[in-house]
Amino acid sequence: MQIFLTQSLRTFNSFILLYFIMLNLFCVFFFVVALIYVRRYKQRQRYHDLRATLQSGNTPGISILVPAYNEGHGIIECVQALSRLCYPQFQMVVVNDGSTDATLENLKQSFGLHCTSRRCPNTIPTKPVRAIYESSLLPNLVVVDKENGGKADALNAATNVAVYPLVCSVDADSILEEDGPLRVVVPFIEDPQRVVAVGGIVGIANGNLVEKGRVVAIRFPRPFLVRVQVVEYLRAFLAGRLGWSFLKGVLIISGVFCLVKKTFLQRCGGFSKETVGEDAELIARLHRYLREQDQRYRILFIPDPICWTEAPESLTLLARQRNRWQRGLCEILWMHRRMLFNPRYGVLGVLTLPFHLIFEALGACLEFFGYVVFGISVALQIAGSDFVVAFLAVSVLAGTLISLSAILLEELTLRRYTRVADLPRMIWVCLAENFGYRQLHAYWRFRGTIDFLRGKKAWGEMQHQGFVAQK
Amino acid sequence: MGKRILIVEDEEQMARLLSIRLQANGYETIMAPDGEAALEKIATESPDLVLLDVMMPKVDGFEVLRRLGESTPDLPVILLTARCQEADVVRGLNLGAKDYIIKPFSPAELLSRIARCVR
Amino acid sequence: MHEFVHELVLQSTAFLSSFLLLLVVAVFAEKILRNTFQRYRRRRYHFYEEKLLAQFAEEPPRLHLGPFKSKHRRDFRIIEQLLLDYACQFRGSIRKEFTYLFEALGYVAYEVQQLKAWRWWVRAQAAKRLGEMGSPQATIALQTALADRNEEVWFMAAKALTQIDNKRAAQPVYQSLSQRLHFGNVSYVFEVVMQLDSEGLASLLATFPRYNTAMQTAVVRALGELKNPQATPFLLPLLADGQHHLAKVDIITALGRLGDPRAIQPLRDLLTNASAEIRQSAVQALGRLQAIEVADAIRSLLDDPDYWVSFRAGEALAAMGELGRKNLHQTLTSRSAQASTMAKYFLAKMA
Repeated sequence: MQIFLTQSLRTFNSFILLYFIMLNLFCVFFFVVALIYVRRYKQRQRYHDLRATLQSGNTPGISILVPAYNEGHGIIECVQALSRLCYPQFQMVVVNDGSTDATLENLKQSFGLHCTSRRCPNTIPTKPVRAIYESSLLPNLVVVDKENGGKADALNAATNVAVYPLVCSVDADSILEEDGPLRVVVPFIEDPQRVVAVGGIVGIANGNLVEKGRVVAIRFPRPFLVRVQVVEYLRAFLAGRLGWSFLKGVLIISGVFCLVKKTFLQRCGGFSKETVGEDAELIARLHRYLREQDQRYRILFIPDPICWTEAPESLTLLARQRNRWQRGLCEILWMHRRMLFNPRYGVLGVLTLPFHLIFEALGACLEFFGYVVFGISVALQIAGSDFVVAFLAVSVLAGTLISLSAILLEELTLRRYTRVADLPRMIWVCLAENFGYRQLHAYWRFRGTIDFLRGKKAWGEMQHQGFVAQK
Repeated sequence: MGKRILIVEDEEQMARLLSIRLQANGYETIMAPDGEAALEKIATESPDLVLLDVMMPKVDGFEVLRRLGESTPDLPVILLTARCQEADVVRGLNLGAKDYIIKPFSPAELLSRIARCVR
Repeated sequence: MHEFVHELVLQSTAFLSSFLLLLVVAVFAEKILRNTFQRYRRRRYHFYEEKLLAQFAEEPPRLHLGPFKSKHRRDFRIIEQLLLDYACQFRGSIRKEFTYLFEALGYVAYEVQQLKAWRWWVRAQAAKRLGEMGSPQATIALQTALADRNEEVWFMAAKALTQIDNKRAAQPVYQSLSQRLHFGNVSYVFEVVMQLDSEGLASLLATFPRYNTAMQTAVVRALGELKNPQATPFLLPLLADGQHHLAKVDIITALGRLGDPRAIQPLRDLLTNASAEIRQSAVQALGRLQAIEVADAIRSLLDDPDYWVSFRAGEALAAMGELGRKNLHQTLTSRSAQASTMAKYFLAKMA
């Protein structure tokens, strides 16, 4: 009996090793692809003039959708910052999703809103809209007051009211770069027939110097948890998503900022209320719709920092966020299970979704059990020393290597963190995150998968800390 | 001539350039990097003309224009704007700006417009 | 099986560890070197900048060669960047001073050499800089660059030729546009068409049927911006042609932007089209054209089942001044709730 247990544990351990090797190989591939991609993009940027895009008559207008629920005073700053965007024609549509605090009052006072007799068309069905306001101070601001229906519902209502052919959804607590939309709209201008959605890189704003809603200086944050998240975002955005964009199988464009063509958004039925990961679900649905229509399209990702978002600083909030992300992912995979391994849906069906299924959804459980079994094996002294070394190599060493290459990529291309003193801190984080954070993360994701299987639906609360201007 | 001109421009290079050109022609220049500083300087130093950049929204030029229209409507304002921002130009002129000049600019043109407004 | 996996991993562990160390060292070295180099660069840039600004302080500003003839080869590119940064801020006679400076200091010759580099981004950047320098000495080299396989280089060369103050310099651009029938990036087509004069436009329109759909759309959009009288008689038959694969919406939008009253009647006929998208763009175009004579037809669209069609109709009427206001007023008492709401909204906006 004991021999059977030992044998099965050994098999499981080898299996885990294989899993880690596969995962790391994928990461290496993404890193190489990202390097080529970003270098090419940076080379183009050297002679491409943004001012030409600003002044060209060819640049389409965009409508910026801002769903707001109990944002309090933050919404005023957000709208003011957005109004100062550098873009020829744009509109801001703020949706007050039945807030119970003074969000609407604040908006009314700060921007001189007056109620219009305009009706909201029901192109995408939403909860009833109470009124549409326009501002005398900012002619391109529209505020929609509606009954509470959730973020997806608010975005759908905003899309109904949007005037321009491109829409982008923005979180109320994220900071948009001044010329961010200008850079993201470039693929739409270059390939207007095919490009349907474009996303950009999201950075972490904690620790940055923020003045009047603009990031004035980029600094590596101080709390360890936030530092780990910065490195994670570098790994995920710079390497991961660019790789998928290159392979033409983008699944997740961050909901914090993504620019989509309004007609396609409406034809797809808008954002989905069924899931907490509505941004990625929309992209999956777009892929599906366009493939089923046999239409040639492109959904891509540009390696340009567009947006800054607030990262949770406490363990509880972070756990909740990751739990939500994991649930969202599982929900998307379940909702679009028809696309899995289906060549009709191209790279998304054959590569991306299975990858996320194996390495993210199921992988969470595998990883978690891997750590647990590893611990047991060591405790019971079943595992040989060579196995321990092997395990540590693939998980810790390779993990550090991947993170380090993400930092190298950032240094070679985007160079946002300029201080030399930040570099040893980042490198230390790469190493340190493997002892504790990674295991915790695996556990959160494991819980997320379990919660999905149990049918949990809530969003959980995010406490706003606001952006602290550190001097 | 001794007239004082306030330059409201956030791009340092451009601001210095303007300042030097104007000083070479006998004007005194005061600098302000953004909207708030501009209003402050107007209150304390009372310039004779304001050169306002509306191209990069960082300066929040229209807010400044609006407040100027309320407080000191006699102060002439010349807008520095980009080639294709027709809507901005119209908005600025409606808010009370006297004239505008398009970037990239011709120094001779700028000087003659300033001379005309200051008179 | 287990042994094989373990063995494999053990071997790669050693490899990985050394690679890790190498990577750390590389990242550090790269960062420190880059920071140092940037600081040096900035210092030299400011050094030469002071000299340049001192020359601006003269009245009238004359640019002297002396301070920019650097002894250090390293400063060559730095000075070039400085002069380009400042040259782009100006227009007029002082721009000619800069051009003379670029020619005399050897920058034009240098960039012409760079046009033959094997890396495409170096060629593209060289073409861009030559355009900003504005020197006619570069004309022939740029015209040769028009034959470049890489689109980016082609576009930069085309733009540069239009920036050089010489009408004949840009002639080959129009010819080459007619010859390149395929573009990955159609915005380039748009930008170049925007620079065309009547002669170039005529030859472009002759080659139009040979372009693919994406290029044709870009040309049509550019026609809308150009405001050239040749455009409307060219676009109208395209609109009437039911078989044409070009999106009607693009043609309609271009006709609206052109401001040519000859388009009013054909657009009016489209107001009853079955497709809501076409109705919407037709109404929008008529609004831009200030087509007062068809105000009645537009007013009837306030009642359209599609929300955006009625919205654009209201917008069009709101842009028509007194006559529009009268029409909106009359609609206030309409039986259709949508029409009257829309009319009320736009009347409030006009006030």
